[in-house]
This record gives sequence, structure tokens and C-alpha cells, in this order.
Amino acid sequence: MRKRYLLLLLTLFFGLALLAVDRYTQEQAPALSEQQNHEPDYYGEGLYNRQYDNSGKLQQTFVAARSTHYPQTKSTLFAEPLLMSADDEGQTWQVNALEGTMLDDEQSLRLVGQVEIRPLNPTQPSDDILVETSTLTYHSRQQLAETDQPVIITSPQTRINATGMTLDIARQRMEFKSQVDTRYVPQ
Amino acid sequence: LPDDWQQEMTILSERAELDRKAGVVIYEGNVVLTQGTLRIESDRLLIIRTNDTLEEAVAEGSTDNPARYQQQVNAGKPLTKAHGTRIHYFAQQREIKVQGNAQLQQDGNQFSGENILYDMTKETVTASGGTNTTGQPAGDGEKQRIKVVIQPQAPAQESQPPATGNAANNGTDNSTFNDTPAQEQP
Repeated sequence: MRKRYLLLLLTLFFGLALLAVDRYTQEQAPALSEQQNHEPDYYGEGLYNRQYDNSGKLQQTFVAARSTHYPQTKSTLFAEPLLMSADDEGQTWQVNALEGTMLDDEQSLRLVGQVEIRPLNPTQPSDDILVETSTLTYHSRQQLAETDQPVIITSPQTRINATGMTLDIARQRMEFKSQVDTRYVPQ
Repeated sequence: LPDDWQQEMTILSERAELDRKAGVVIYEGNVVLTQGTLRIESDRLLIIRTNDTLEEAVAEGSTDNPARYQQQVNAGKPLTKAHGTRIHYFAQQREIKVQGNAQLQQDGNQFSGENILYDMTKETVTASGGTNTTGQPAGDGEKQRIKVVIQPQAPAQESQPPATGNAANNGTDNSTFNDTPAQEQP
């Protein structure tokens, strides 16, 4: 009879010990998952992505030195992203930056660091413009670029400084939100 | 000055919209354009450029805050000033057209009316009245008239008949003035 009670006590004690260990490991788990936030699940080097429209015409080319995907935040981080797309008149525009981030379920690319937008092989000198800013969001489907940061636009005879801009690449329209300072230098 | 258009042009504003295909830029909010001695201030400014050369600038204001223009047209001459609800500056033709409560001060002379056209090359001012403010063609009596105030010339050594002070009203309230020394009116 006494052995039975002893066995019961031992089982009880063992159960309690297990409970204690389980609670301890759960407390540690969040610390671990926080760490996992920064753990990518896959990455790639030398990304080259081409997008075509329904008629098979090349619509957009996207290049990045490196891409890293983070499952927790459902986002991909690109190093040296570069994006090329054509406007309504067939002129190809290039958008590049030091870094870019894209959310899994979105088509918008958030660019950070030395963001530049320029036409490739402009047909005439006055088309040779350069748009520079620090951060920019590029909506590739609409070919729309927008920023609320200071922006500088330079071309052979013009220099525009402003804060906040929306650039519709397809229709070649720019809107400057505030503090617009434009300089035209005659030929 | 004649070489104003060769100077750097600066435009400051609160907002702007640029349509590169059409070559049109619209500036809005406390707009100030400066180029050499040329200065235009307005609520809104439309710039039309062709091959990076200014074709036309259209400054728009309101009755209480009209668009304002000033420029020294020729060396040694005082500033020419104008204001009105709308001012068209034709850079290539060197003309300005002022509309809506238009006023122009040029060489001490003052012109006011509904429309004023000033040709800087020929130095002629063409002023015309307009319809009344309701926009309906006015009856005979209600036609807006123009007003011209010509400063008399400084008296020369021998006696020379002074210039008349009022515009010869040719009945259609549309008069053109040259900037040559005044002769005796017929």
C-alpha cells in the first residue's frame, strides 16, 4: 500500500516539474520569435525580373543586387533596386536607389537612399532631366512616383527645388506640393 | 531692359504643376517671377515654353489682389508698372496685355481701362474700354471709358505749347499713344 502512495507522489512531483519546465520554455519562446522577425526565409542574388503586358510587350524590368524576404513582416528588402519602364511615348525611364522594400501583397516599391529618376537615351537635350530625392514610393502598375521629401529636378536649362512631389511617368506630369523654387537659365 | 530675357529667370511659388508634353507649367500661391528687371507677382502663373525658351507668361490675380508687373523697359527710364486681373507677358514680341481693371504707368504717364496693350519695342500703349461688369454689352452711355493722364513735358527754353492732359476721345474709347514728344493736338 505504502509503495503505491510513494509511486503516486513521485508521479505528481514529476508532473509538476514538467509544468514548470513548459512554463519556462514558453517565456523564452517570444524572445526567440522576436529574433526570428529578422530571420529571412529566403534570399537571392542578382535578381532580374521582366514584366509583360497582355499583348506581350515588355512593360517593366526590375533588377536588384540582392533580395531578402522576411516572413514575419511579409516584405522583401532589395539592395540597389533599379526599375525601368516606358512612358506613353515609348521613352524608357529608370528609377533607382540604394535600398527598396516591397510588401508581399502590394505592387508599391518603397525606395530609400539616393533615389533617382531619369529618362534613358532622351531624344532631345531638354528631355534630359534628373529627379533626385531621399525616399520615394513607386507604384509600378500606375507608373506613379510620389514623395513628401525635398526633391530636386535638374535639366540643361532648368532647376526646380520643391518639397513633396507626384510624378506621373506615363503622362509626363509632375506636381510639386510646396516651397517651389524654379530657375530657368536661358541658352 | 532689352536683355532681361537673357537673364536667369526665377519663379517662387507654393505649388506647381508641370506638364512636360505640353510644355506648360502652372504655378500657384504667392507666385513671384523675376528676370533681370522684370518682376511679375500673382496668385497664379501659367508659363508656356518652347525648346526651353519662354514664349508667354499669363499671370492671374483677383480684383482685390490683382496681378502685378514691373520692368525697366529701357536704360535710364523709370520702371514701367502695370496691374490688372490678368496680365499676358509675350516674351518674344516684348509686349504685355493687361486685362480687367487694367492700369499701366509708363514714363510718368498713367493709363487705365478694361484692356491695355503695351508694345515695348515701338513704345506704344493701346487702351480700350470694355463692357460693364455684368458682361452684357452696355448701352451707349454705359460703355466703360479709358482714362489717360499724360505728364506735361518739362518746359523747354523757348515757349512750346504744353501737351494736352486728356486723351482725344475718338468716340470708340480705343486710343493708341506713342511715346514721342507731344505735338499740338488738331
